[in-house]
Amino acid sequence: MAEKSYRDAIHEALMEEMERDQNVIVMGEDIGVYEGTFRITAGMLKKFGPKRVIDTPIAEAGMVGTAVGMAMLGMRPVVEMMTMNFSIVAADQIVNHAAKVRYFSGGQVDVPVVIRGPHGAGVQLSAQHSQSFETFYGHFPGLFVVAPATPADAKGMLKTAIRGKDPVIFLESPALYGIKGEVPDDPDVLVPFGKSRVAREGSDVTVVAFGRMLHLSMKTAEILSSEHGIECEVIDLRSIRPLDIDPVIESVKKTHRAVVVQEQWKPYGFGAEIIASISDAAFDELDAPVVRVTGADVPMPYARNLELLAVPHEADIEKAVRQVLYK
Amino acid sequence: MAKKSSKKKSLVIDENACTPEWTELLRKMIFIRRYEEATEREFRRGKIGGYLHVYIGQEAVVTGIQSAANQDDLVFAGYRDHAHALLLGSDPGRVMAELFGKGTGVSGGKGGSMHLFDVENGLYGGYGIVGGHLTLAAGAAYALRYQETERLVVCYFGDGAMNIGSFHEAMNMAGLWGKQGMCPVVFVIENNGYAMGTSIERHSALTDLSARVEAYNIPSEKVDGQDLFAVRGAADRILRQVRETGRPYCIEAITYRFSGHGAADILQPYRTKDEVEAQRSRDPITILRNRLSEICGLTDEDVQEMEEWAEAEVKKAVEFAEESDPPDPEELYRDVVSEVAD
Amino acid sequence: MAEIIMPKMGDAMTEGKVVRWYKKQGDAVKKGEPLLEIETDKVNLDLEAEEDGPLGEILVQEGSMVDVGTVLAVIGGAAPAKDAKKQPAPEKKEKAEPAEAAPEEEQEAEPSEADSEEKGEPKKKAEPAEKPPKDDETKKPAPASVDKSEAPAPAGDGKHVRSSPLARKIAGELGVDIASVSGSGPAGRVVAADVKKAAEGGAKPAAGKVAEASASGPRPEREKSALPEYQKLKDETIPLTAMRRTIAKRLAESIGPIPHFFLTIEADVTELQKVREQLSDISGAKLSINDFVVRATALAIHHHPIVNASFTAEAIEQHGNIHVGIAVATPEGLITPVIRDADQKGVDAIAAEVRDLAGRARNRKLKPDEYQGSTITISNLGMFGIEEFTAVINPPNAAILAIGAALEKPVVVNGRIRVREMMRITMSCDHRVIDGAAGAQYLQSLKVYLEQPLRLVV
Repeated sequence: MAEKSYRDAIHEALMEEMERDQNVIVMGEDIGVYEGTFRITAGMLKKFGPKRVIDTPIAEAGMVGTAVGMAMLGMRPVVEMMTMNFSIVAADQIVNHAAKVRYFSGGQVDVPVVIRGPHGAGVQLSAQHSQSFETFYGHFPGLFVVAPATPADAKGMLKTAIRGKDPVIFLESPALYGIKGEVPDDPDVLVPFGKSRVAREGSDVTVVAFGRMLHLSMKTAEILSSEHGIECEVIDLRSIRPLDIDPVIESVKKTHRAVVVQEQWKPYGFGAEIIASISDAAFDELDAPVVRVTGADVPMPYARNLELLAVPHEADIEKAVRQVLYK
Repeated sequence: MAKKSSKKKSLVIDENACTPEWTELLRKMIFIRRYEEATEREFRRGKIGGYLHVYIGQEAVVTGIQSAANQDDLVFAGYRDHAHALLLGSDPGRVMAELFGKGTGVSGGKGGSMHLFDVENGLYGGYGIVGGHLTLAAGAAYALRYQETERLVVCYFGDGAMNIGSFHEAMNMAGLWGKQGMCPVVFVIENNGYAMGTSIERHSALTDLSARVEAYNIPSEKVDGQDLFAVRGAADRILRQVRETGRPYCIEAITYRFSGHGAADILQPYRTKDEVEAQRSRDPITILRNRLSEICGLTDEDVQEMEEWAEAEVKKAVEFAEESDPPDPEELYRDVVSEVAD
Repeated sequence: MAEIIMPKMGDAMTEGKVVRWYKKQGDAVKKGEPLLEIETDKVNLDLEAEEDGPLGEILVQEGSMVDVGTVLAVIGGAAPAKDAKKQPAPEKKEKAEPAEAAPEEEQEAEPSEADSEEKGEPKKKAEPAEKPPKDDETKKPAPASVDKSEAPAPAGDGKHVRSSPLARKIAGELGVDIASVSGSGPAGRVVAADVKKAAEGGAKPAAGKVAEASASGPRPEREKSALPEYQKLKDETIPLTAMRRTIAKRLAESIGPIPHFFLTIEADVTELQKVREQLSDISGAKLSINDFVVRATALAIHHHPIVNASFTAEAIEQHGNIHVGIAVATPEGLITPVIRDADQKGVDAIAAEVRDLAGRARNRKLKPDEYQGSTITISNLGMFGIEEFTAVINPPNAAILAIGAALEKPVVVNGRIRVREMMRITMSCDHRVIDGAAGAQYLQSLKVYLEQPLRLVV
């Protein structure tokens, strides 16, 4: 075990997997010579050469589509989206091709392509560069969608993604790249998809989140515990599709009330999915309706003060917790 | 680094020599023609659902090009893909079964007419998004070179696919990778002059399609798509070149479809009956047949035998499809992903 | 031999029509010749012969709409065998069954809930425990980012206890009557803590099944659907008071022999119609809404006997029997056969009698005691689509009810617009006998009977 940053954890995963399997390659804009806008791929061109570390033109549909073609022939391309916001340009290649080719060929091909990149609101990047994509991609059968929040999960889940046979949308966050955490040294430690994690135990209220919001929830939980004696049980979903709702249900059976925290817009968001799932399995356990803490239903504004108003903060989570506790 | 040897078709084309291969190709084209007519009939009977895009009138293009390809080369095609499947060796009964939506279909009944796949025979689809598969073809070509094979990819699409975003992205990346010899793909434009119901003059700012591909540093040439000899001649030379250099190439085959765009396109308000009639005078099957009677002494009886054989084969295919069962209901959830989480 | 079939010309097409045959049976046709014109969902077009030969029997005539794949005729060869004519419908696996879901009942079940609530009432005494404390709305609406999933709710509507699922579950486990627990949550919601507290404080145990306890709620102060005391009738002579005499005289002078005034009320007969249909099915005879109105009219009188009276110079004669006259139009004019003791007869008995009397009335075969002696009269012009009208009192009655058509209308129910069947009733009252309030109260009770139709069938 060693303490590493999230960014380093991803970098290590890529390096180790490229060493382990010749079929693994990486491609994306400015990942080679420039060494990546977030420096995830630093040093890789030098080590693995241009056939395996491909600088692509600015052509998201082109890079994703060609990656799909490569994957169909047994390669394992990992495509970096400079930000997942740009993946919308490649949406047809992702949802109409990568997600479905296996199905409409009757299972004749695998598509082991990983599409990874940061999503979510950053620092004054404005409306087109600040979106979250768990809802967008979580909707499509044929895709796996994951959003690790810790360095250990980032490394372990990226390996699972690369070694799997299916297309994976791997959601990172600029806010997470710098956080540090314990990461196993063993290069064969994989973190499975479809398994949520109890990040913090508590008996008063269940808080469900992933990614950056998971950290915000943990912070709020600390405040609530030390200052108000309210003990939150915080669940890190980590896997959006498939979704592992069981730990959430077990938790709700204990606490009888829940809050879901998501960074982006409320309508049709992932929070709605969690609430519906809780309602399906634990309706009778609820002492209060599940409350969603979400971002403001607006395109992300540029001005700093507005941007701060547009995303959730500790106070919003606390308010929601109190609401479901009737405190 | 030893190059793997590969099986090849005939190297030299002698346009004046009669080889058995030529008559075989005529037989294949006649078979495709009868087969596609049968799919149209079955659609009208209600046996085939959804969309149906037939290759009638364009037979020489795919027949000529695929006759120059190797057994282990790959093909990516759009939704007008029945002829491609048949030529690559897919079982005609199983192709028809796919159109009928039966479990014995090449794609398990889960794709339909637009998504014919037969990976064993090199057919990698069958795609319903216009121009969406070109990137996949370019990526597959890269993989073939990455894996140090001598195989290549032939990617078919229509003139209508040349204006969509992914076309340009695919061409640019193929041209770029081609510079390093890492993209052995033959792009074949099946230029039948129409993007669905819109003529080429009305859909393309520059109607010289070859020139547009060259903007991406991909060499190209036009070929008379109705003349099998011309297509095959060009294909032989081009495929060899692509295989050697690993650089992409584009064949713009000028052709014509006698049927509507799809089965629902009956009225065809975008062209006149006279135009279609005039084009029928350049029916590729007739052109080849006349040529073969010249150089091979092909007789009417020979052709009649081919026609009867073709109809019998087609009939068998239809029967097979009729008698097959629909897919198992459990197929609904199979192959969404390779490992089912639930 | 070639079959000519109705072709599928578009992906959504499932049937086509034969418009016109150009050829007839026995004609020699050539390949490519047009044989008939068909009409599809998008276009008309000609179908051509696919080979030369004589045209066989035409199996589908002009004007017929047939499924795709149906054989229309045959060229050459013998006509197809008899069973081949049985047009096997092509596999239309893709043709979805038009989702013929029964038209959704858009109406809420609320009125019938109220109905069953009322029925349940006698068991429980109307005991509002403490009224739920004023909503604790000091929680201000949170900023945009926090979902306040509960809109500020109107006060309990008297039928439903707001409670969380967990609270109900715990109430069941502890045997607590959730209706008796005061809720501390928003809009008076009873939450788990409230139930637990109530259990510790010795809350009332649930009456009957606990599950039902959750459905009922604190009693509202005033039930609009309550009825005054039910009375047995007897003949009684009420002497005119001085005041009565004066009113009578003055009103008579101003308006004619009988001083009329008119009151209109609208009743929601949606439930009544349902009951009527069900009973019609069961009894096999078609019951009309008027049959129910007759009975309702009679029963309502028991709560307001004054309506069943007659004015005489000396007194108001209140009648001990209720004989309902029904206005029937005949070629010669209006006549009113009488259903005697209508309050003692069930609806199907009334229906049978009405049919019999009305029939004979039209044929002028009524006996005098069949058209005399009513104590109240009903006139129904609903079958003519009349929504509302005023009728003239049939002496010596003190009242007549003008029944309008039962029509679907948008009405406001609990603050929302619903489609209900509404019927307007205009009561003409003899002001010498019936005052405004009395008439109004009678109509209120009549409305109760019409809106709670199960009362009419017990």
